[in-house]
Amino acid sequence: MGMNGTTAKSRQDARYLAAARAHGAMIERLARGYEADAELRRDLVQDIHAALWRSFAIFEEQCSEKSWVHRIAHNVGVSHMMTGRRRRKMPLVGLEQIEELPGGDDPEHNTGTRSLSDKLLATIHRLAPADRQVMLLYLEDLTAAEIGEVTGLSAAAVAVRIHRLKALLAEPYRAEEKRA
Amino acid sequence: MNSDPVKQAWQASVEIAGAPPLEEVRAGADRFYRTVRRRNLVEYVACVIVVAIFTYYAFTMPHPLQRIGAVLIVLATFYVAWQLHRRASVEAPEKAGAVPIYAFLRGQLVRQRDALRGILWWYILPFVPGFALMTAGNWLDPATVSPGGPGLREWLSLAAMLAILAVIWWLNQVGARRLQRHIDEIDALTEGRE
Repeated sequence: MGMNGTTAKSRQDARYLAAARAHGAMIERLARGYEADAELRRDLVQDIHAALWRSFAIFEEQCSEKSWVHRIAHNVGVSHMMTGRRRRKMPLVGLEQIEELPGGDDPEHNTGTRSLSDKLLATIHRLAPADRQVMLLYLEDLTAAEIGEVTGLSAAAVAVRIHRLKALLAEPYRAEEKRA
Repeated sequence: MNSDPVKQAWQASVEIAGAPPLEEVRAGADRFYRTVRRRNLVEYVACVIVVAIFTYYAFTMPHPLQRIGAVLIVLATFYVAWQLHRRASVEAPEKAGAVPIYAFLRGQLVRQRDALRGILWWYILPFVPGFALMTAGNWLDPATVSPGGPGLREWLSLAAMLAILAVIWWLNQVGARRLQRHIDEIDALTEGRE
């Protein structure tokens, strides 16, 4: 490898490491959204990091680094989800088919030991890919425009999903207000 | 950190995750390409076996039409292997960053759909001239044909071969229609976006 090749490689390593440090926790959370099994999730995280590292050889600021990392990570996540679909027992649904976060009949819900993030995760695992991506990106605090840029979904498709999400996520608080 | 308690709870579920060791990441990246190389190797080995068998036939078959047919099958095998490589190779995941998720996914699905839809032209038809000549040679060769010319046995084996080709074509069209449904779903989700 020549001098230029070495420089390019070390630049790729440096950019990857900076992005992995900045977005590492997001990648872990995203992997939880795509894979419930801990062992398989480790492989998924590794695959995302591998794709990310390679991607920094061709990253030329085509979009923001944040969008770039989300696109790579979700793409690997969707591929993982598609190859694993045969072993899934429950059919995937859209956000419009979910009326509330899980926990109503769950005794743990009433004692409050089941955390909100677990309920979110249980909901995410039931969702079809587009709804799942919007929910994960929304929870990562991306704006509707950013979600559109990452996914390529139309503004209307993003807006309708965020609207449903806000209603779904506000439901426990409304129920609490009613009880109070 | 934002003020939305739901987003806060989600982001607090994993707050710290460092970069994994670079060596581990590089090894993971190699794994993807190793899998692709292994798949390609299987295709090349299958190709070499077919080429070896039909090259042998090209020199040993008694009838000239059989020998020409064998040569055409060898040529068709090279053509199909090249087409397979061109049409069905995997898109590397690191390229996904340059375009939105659904544009990337759609591109892959369209490529796979077109490969399945056009299977008649790039996978089935290239073998037909070779097989047709070999069959004609078999039928004209007194050593291989039934006494008195082609009979029930010959016609049945020809019909079986055509039926297999028809089933291959039909299964691929079913696959192409399934992919088209996914593409239509994506188009509905992304409609109006540049």
